[in-house]
Amino acid sequence: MVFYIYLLSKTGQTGGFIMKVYVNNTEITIFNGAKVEDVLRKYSMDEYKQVKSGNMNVYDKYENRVMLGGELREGAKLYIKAD
Amino acid sequence: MHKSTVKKLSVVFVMAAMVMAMSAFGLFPGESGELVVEADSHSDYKTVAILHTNDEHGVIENFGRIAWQKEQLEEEYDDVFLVSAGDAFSGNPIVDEYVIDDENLRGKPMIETMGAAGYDAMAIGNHEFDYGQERLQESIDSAYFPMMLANIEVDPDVADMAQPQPYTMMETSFGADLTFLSLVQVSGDYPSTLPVNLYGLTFLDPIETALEFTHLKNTSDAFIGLTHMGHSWDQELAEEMSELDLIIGGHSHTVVEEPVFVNDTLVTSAGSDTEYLGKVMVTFDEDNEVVEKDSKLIATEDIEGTNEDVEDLIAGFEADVEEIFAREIGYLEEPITGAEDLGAFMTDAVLQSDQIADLGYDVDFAFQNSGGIRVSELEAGALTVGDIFELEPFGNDIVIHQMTADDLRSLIGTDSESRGEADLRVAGLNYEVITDADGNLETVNLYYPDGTELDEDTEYTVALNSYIASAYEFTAQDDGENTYLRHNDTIINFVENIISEEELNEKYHGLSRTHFE
Repeated sequence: MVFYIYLLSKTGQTGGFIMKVYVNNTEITIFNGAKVEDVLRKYSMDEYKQVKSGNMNVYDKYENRVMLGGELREGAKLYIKAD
Repeated sequence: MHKSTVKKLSVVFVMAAMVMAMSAFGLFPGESGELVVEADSHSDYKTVAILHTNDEHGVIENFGRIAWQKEQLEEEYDDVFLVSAGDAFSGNPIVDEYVIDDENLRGKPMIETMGAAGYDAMAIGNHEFDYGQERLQESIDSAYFPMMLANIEVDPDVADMAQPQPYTMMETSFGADLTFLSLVQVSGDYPSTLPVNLYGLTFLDPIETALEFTHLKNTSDAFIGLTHMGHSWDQELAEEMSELDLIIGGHSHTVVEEPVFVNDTLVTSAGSDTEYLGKVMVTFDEDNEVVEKDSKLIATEDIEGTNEDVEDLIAGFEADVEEIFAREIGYLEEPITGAEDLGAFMTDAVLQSDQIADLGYDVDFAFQNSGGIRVSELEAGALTVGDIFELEPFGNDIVIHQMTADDLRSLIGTDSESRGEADLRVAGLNYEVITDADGNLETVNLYYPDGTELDEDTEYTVALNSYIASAYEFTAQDDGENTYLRHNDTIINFVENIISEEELNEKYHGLSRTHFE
């Protein structure tokens, strides 16, 4: 079973590739297909709640705000800031 | 002539001369009196407004305002176009569960409303595949606007959709040709959607594909990428492909407030959920050469009017929600009550899912957090789609991990110790958490339902919802894989297609799969 999943992952049929992203320069390893909200929860539930409540915002490396449902790519860099 | 009259006439003459001179140089007083240079001060210059949204995700309520805004801007600009950078589908049960009289019409509310609002083109995003190829093709066929994608190859002998058009061309009222080329993100080999929906489809590298279309620059006065790749990919595309005048993107839900230029290509994106309407102004000279580009975002809540025809259409779809949610998928003789039984029902739906099995996973165990069970009871009587959306309103995806017995202990133990109770509901497994007198974790015992203990060396295939996968602390043998199957859809499928009504009514009463002491 594990080998079968491995093969599927290699061929992409499960969409399965590990994804590493960064939140405030901290590396987060998370399931492929994770959204901004998934990554924030893994980084810090407290800060996730701050963003969810609107007290803080999430920005990309270009300093654009990104929304919680945003989809991510390998190596994405996010920064949580209070405006 | 009176002296003061001569003085007044002199002032008028001087002011008139100044205005004429200023006009000749394209200078006009601004609202606060300052002089500003108008980009299209040349009388032969024309300015086109391209309005855009992306990642609408089933949010239909703002399209009346968007249509109204387009109408207003048509009075102001030489031409106005309205486009979407993809992912109109998925995120709202009105759209995702739009099954009327047993006819699968998922996505229809978005396609019809966007057509009525005056959309001119749309990129096919990854979530446009969520309802399957047949439904996507029906959407493409019924849309009043082209739905496009370039980096896809469709095998006609296998797939259930036709090769979509890669780009579309639009002509302005003054004869300028605008070409919109569409691309979707590819992660691994596929875009982020249910892999089982992608049979017969090959997805190509989006940037390499785009470079094969550079020739379109020769027949376009403005060459525009209408992409669904994410903002950082859009910036890379702009670096690689200077032929593009403009890239309007989606996927990463990025709010690009100020215009971003990569070399000479303007790159923008308008957040998500129709919270913003993007507006790009492209000015052409008398030879239809692009001479200026600018962009801004308009918050849709600040749009001051609405199109009543579009509002009526939206109201009709919203009224259908009653029928959608009332669709009966099963019948309960007795209520299913409490987190233990409801959690067993929810996790059994995952454990026995044929949709997950079709992806190649043989799930051993499934988990659900108690906090994600949002009703205390499923009442006796008709079990409806609406009941399931109340039970699991989040639309969490199912994520698969490979885990050993010790990994499972880390998940269950860490959570139970911090909460002082057994929070995680489970299928395929029974567990007991033992703590000492101070509440410190001593051990977690794991059993199959028949009472035998789990093997310590086996790697098990474990299904978690995406909330547990991201918010809970645990070890695992891998970093997880998203199935892109939503838990609430899995439960609906379970009731409709997997479990018999007899078993549904017998099984979920007084179960005890977890123990905490």
